[in-house]
Amino acid sequence: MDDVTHIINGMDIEGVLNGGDLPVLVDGRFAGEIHAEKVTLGEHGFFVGKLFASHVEISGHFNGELVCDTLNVGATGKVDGSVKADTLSIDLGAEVMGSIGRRS
Amino acid sequence: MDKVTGNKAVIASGADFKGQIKNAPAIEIHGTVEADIKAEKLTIGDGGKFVGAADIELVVISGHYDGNMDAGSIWATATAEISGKIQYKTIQLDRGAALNCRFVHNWKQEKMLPKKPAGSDFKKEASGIKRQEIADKKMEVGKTKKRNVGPTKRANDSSDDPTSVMHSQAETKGIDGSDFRLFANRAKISSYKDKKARGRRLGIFGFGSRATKLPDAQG
Repeated sequence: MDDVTHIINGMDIEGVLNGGDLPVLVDGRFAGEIHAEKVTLGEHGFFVGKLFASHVEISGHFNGELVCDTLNVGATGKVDGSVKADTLSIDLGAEVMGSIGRRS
Repeated sequence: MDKVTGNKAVIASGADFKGQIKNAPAIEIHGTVEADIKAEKLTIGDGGKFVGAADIELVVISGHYDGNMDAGSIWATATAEISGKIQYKTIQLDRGAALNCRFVHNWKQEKMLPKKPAGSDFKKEASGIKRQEIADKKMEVGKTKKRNVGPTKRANDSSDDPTSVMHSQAETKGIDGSDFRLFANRAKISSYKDKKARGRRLGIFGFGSRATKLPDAQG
């Protein structure tokens, strides 16, 4: 329970988060910047800003700039903005808008 | 990690956050956080570091805190390191906790507000009140005085409570009060006479104005 940085549902955060080696789970609202190894945006999660990570899973709303190795957009995920991912998977039902490219 | 882990926000060890945190019922900090937090419960874990203002009901500090905290109850464990300014209602310190800060006990805001209207009633009905109750009130005042820590608060309290008790006492013991006044007057008169007498006595020596003035100026 203590080995995950967890932004819970209903929480409202603004700022810069450096997750370190441990995964980050966002179920609340986050505005700003996240640098982490693994980031999961939960079903109720709402993210605005820049996200840099190795593995990203999106089941909530994402708005902004995303740079990662592996991206998985879940069935409930909504992505709006620019995405740069080396490996990308989008589940059936997901909404993805914006530019998608590879990390150069 | 995919499990939803309770209703407690966590900043894991190794994580580093700077910014604002709002609407969090409970937060656990094992990493480094620089933020302003308003929450019901805050836990700063061993190795956690939190810098910033905090308005929190229950705080458990095992790590490092620096800032301006307004807390209900605080538990500082053996590994706690606290600096800054802390306002609290109740506190528990474990042996080993390192404090380098200013503590202000702000119990008064909650306790005194409901007390004030009661005090006014007390004055109105003062004539019908028994001495036992006055004694009780006295005891209370004694207790609150002991419990006081903050210097600013202490000044307010001592000016507030004991005087009201004095007034009520004077009102209830009407005869005694007047006696006291008479006595005080008598004392005044006698001292005045003494002074005059002393002056005259000193005047006898007749060493000019200086010798007579000096003792007068002193008393």
